[in-house]
Amino acid sequence: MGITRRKFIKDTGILAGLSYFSGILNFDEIMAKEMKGEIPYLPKEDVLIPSTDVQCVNFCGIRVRRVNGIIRAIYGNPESPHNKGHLCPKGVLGFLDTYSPYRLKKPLKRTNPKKGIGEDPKWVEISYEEAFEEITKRLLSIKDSPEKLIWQHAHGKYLIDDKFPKAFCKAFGTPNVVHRTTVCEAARHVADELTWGYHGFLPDLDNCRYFINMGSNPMEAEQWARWLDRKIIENIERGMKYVVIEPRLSNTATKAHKWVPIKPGTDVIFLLAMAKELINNNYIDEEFLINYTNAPYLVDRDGKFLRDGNGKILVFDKKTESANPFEEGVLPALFGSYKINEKEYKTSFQTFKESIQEITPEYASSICGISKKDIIEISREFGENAFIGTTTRKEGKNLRYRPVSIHTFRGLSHNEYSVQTNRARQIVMMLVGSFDAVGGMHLHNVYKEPKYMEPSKCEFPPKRVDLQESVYFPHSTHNIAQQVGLTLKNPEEFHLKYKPEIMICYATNRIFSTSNIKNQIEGYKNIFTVVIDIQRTEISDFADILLPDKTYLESWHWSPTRWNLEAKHIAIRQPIVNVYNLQYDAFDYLMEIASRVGILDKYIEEINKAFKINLGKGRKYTSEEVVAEIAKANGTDLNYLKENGLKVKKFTIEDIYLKGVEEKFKGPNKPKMALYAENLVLTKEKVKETVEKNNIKNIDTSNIDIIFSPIPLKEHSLYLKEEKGSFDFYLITYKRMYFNQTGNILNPYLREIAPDSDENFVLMNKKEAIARNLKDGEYVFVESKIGKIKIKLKTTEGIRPDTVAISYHFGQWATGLPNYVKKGANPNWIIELKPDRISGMNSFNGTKVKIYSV
Amino acid sequence: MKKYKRLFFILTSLLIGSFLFAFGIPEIAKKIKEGEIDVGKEEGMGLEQRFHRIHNEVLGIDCSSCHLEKLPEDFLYQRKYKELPEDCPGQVDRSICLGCHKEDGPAISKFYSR
Amino acid sequence: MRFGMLIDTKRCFGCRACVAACKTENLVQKKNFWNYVLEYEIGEFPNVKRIFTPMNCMHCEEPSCMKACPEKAISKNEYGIVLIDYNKCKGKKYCIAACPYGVIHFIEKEEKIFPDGEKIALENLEDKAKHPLHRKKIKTAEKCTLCWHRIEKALKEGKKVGSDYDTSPACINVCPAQARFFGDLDDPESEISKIISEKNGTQIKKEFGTKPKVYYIL
Repeated sequence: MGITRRKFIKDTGILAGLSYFSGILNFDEIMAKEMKGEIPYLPKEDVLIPSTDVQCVNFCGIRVRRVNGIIRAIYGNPESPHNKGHLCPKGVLGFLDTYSPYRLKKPLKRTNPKKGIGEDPKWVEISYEEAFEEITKRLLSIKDSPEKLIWQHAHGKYLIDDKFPKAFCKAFGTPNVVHRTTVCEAARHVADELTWGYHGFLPDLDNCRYFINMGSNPMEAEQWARWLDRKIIENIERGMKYVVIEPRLSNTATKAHKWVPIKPGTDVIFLLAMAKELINNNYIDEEFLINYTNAPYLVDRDGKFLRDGNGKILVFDKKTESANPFEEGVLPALFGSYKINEKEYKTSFQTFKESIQEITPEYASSICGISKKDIIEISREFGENAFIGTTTRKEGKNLRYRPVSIHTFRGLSHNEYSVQTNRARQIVMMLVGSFDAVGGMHLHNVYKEPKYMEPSKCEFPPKRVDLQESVYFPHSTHNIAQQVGLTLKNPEEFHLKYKPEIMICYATNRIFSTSNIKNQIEGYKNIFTVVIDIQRTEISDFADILLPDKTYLESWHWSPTRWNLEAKHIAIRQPIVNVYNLQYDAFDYLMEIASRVGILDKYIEEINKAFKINLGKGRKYTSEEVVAEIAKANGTDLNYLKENGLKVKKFTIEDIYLKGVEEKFKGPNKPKMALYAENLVLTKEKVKETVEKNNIKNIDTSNIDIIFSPIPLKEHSLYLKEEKGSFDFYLITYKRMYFNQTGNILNPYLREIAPDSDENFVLMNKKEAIARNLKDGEYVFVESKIGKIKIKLKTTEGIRPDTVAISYHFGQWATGLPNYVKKGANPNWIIELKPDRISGMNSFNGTKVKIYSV
Repeated sequence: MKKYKRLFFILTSLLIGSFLFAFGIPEIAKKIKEGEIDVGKEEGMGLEQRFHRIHNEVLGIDCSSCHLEKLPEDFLYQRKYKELPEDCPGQVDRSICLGCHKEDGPAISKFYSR
Repeated sequence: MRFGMLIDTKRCFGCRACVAACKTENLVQKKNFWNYVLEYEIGEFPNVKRIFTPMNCMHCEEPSCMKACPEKAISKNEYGIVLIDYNKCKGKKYCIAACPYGVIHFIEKEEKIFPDGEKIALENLEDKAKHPLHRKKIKTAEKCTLCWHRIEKALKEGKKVGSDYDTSPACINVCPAQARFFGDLDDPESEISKIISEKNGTQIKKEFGTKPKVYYIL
């Protein structure tokens, strides 16, 4: 049960304190007798202030308890539809980072011009005025070519809504706003976008019977943790069968009925084998494939759809026995090959079906390193539990019932062909008609951006420093975090028509969290850099000016929130304390800088557009003022949110089951979900044409039929042909519950909360370690083609014998950090960067290593 | 395997218990209580303090009888991950204490009443 | 009324939110834990499981720590909650030796939260602004109080103990797995009593005869 702030003050606070002395309550009776001699609890203040957590990307509702002006504890807010009051240890202990003595307290200026690893910037304190003057001077110097400014953020996106830096950059005139999604799940998003015109999905777990999770880890750290984890646990007890497919036994996998330790990077083969098994055993939802997807579209020799003279895509109409657009009265054929004007055309479905003929359970077993029996059994159980053809009634409505789904996050998103792997997962769900069905996979915002389903323009020369949506990474709609350093190293190499001169990094530790660190660092040496953060980081060692930020417990913000299948909500963060009496947070810096470089009105105009509000021009605003305006535009007011922290809107049955694919794709004359991604075929042509026309040397086109294949292929699996050599382990990476990326790493309680939370290690199968004469706890070298790291070995039964795993978070080297954080090792030193060519996704799980004693 | 190990320790402790009982432990306990056997006045866990003097010096229980090098992985003892003091030879499986300090056991202080 | 706890290890996925919540709620000394999660693996690859067992004071009906304490600093109150009086404790550690669960910790010396940094405001909070059970003393023992300060407050305000987030121990409602339950063991109609009987809740290390009031679904 929730308690509002006012009510809490009334209930406890000073009044309650005084009642100790009032004699009304027979306190002695209930007080532990031995404690009688003590003075009672009598604080000057004891209040609960509702706000929103931002330790990770799940934005849990919190209630911050402040005693005598000091944060005493953080509790969950039971009114939040996302976390229902539950928190993770980061959420509970986040306030220690606010009180950290290692916070930045004053603006700092670099005096050592040399930049590099371990190079001490020799910081000197400067006044805010001096910092603003320097930044303003620099920005004004590039006013005529504003694209020379780069704004990079990672967690900064959520600390202040990224609409603010985007508005600022628009007002200034630079396209270069770069977020971090390519270290998370960009490939998953891009696969969604190519397939159904937007991104974001959640399994309907309350109604699900058979749930497969391929490498999503919400019980440690992941998007939608605190909803997914709760729902999985609840529904296992209800009777849902839960299967986890991943090489390492995560805490999420240990709760499963079945853990299937697949070989890393081979998931696409497993999924295609599953598709073949489903088709062979007739577990296919023909009705769904025909009416909601492009499965009946006829495919031409060039891989594009067959079209009529008006450009309309054709299906084979069983009624008229001829090729027609899918219009009213047409009965599209799903299977088969048809002769039209003397030529044979297969349906998309037929094309797909034939393409996977050789991917038998035996074959998949040999590549994926899991048993044939498991592959057959999972496919059969998935098919059986889909209840294809059935409906169920909810609130008087007949709804499709397909209680099966396959969820993923990092698992399918971190290799060279991660968009294709994610597409394979979608196709399996299409086969059984799981999307937006009761118990199936709920899609959010279906077809919200139709342009995502169009072929890429393959921009050239690239406008953006990260090469987003350029010919290099045609569908990289979520920025390319790891590319910035590479482009900066040599802009001409990537045909960038300008040389970036100024970079502002807000709450990001880019070089630390993306692969092949060594290669990226060079680029970061050559640019005037401003870093805004709460403490020193590896990237701040490369900064010229370092600006202290307020933390999430010290500032006003309109908070992002997470929707789920029951409700969505709006929420704020509000200042509870200001531990080091800081004047500015990132929001204020932007406002101040906009004003000083003369773009304030333009900036306000862009903010107004982004939030659909109406701030008057001609003056600066505080974040509280802007939050109040946004609250109004969202149909509430700041006072309500101050007292409650959030406001919930419940979803209806229509919202969840009828507004997505039913409304957007079903039936004739509608766009269709892409079983067959013709957009990739068209993109491929454009890539080829652009590369040839411009004689681009650093784009390899030899493999592009595979890369941009309209349907996932076995060639999208890693390790199809094993190279022989000494690199005999597959390296995978993972995240732990206790830290968000590299955030919280200074938090002393999180570092001691579990026996193994103070550093990371390379996780190896117990028997494999014994066979190699390696001992638990000893230091080993983990070496790849690009480098080696020294790290402790930890043995476990919970990992494949041919695979090792290293978690992130550790291996800090930044100057000025206390010694207690300089533990463990960062796997990004040895991870080869082989990004997904469609989405630009970083390839965290695709490197082979060898391991030996130190 | 682990189960056998555990059983082994419990049996050992029971053996120690009955062994000591045979040699008149209640009497020794009584003598300590009445001050006839001098174990000092200082209560505490230090080697020179009563706890270890009683168990180690007077009763002659060897360190390794109680302190195990490593507790089994599934042994539910909350502090097992804590660093031990430097001079401490290992964690104690409390079921060894139980051998004597149970309701019907031979020791005079009954910490574990059945 | 006898308060107890139930921990469903089938639900627990080892996040340690309960450990964190306990740590700050009770201002537990650095390196000490009133509540801690033990973790181990059973089985062999690929048939392996990881087991998590959160452990805090069992608030035994027959507390061996209480019997062992030479200073009579440990008592059990009328709600069955076992508490240490820091004023009486002389740091002899007999309770620690006697507890079969290993849940009592000793405050050896002052440990700053940030080891090499200055003390933070929370560490300088005046005594008046801390519940007596949170006024720690060097060279004394400390352990879980079942958040007695919350229970006491609820009783004082006439609220039903355990009825919501703030009238239950801090580790209960924070749990994302909803693996922890708290309530009156004497009331057969309480949620905790019902779940214990439905899911065969049991205590651990019953052989010690201390009659613990923390139950587990194992």
